[in-house]
Amino acid sequence: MFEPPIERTDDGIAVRIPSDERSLLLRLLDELSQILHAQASDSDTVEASITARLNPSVYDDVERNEEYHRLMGDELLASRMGAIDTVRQALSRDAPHFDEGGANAFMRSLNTIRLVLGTMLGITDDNQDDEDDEEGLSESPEYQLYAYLSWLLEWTVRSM
Amino acid sequence: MSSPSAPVMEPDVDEDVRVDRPYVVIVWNDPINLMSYVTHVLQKLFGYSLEKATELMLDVHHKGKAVVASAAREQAELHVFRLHEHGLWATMEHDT
Repeated sequence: MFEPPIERTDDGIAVRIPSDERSLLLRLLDELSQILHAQASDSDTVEASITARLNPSVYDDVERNEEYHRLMGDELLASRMGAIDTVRQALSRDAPHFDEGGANAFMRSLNTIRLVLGTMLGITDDNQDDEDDEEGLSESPEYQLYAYLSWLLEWTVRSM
Repeated sequence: MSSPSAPVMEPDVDEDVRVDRPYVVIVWNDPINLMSYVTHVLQKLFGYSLEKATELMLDVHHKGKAVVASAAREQAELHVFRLHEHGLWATMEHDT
């Protein structure tokens, strides 16, 4: 009988995935942590695209935009790292369970990993359709991982 | 009542109007964020009903963007920050 991977309980949400999948998520969170701390210097690299996607421009005005990111950039990083730490602690236990705040941290962290992975893969609206998957993107292990995270996030949102 | 003898300084009307004008917070379409996730985030951050959040999400998806809030600069920046925390692609600009 199918058991949802994420399920609402009386006091939050329970994560019911096998230990190897928990280990995978923990490894991805470690990699995400490293990526968040890295500063891309070459604007043509995938890393720069990831940085830009995670820290979008807020204003058209360049100076105002730089001022915003100077003031808020560290706070955004701290918020993401705080969420990652919360999720790490929970997933390190045999029966992971999140309260409301932890569930939000889990949801946000899953989505941040998807943003990184999706940017690396060059996901567009078009190449997610089977008919337009000319490069066989959906067959790649990275895309399978992306799809797995999307499935997990969908269940998480459903349980919130 | 006496009339002023000193020259009266006229305010820079354009500048004043610009300062007082609220900002709009815009969420842009992107191919990665799930539709259900965007709807949930809009409900959570702005207290929108499922119907309203879904309507905004569909505007983002089909029209490329949607205005999700209008506020003074400081509050609008806070909205943008929280949207970025959740991974949505958000910007802000003066309301036209």
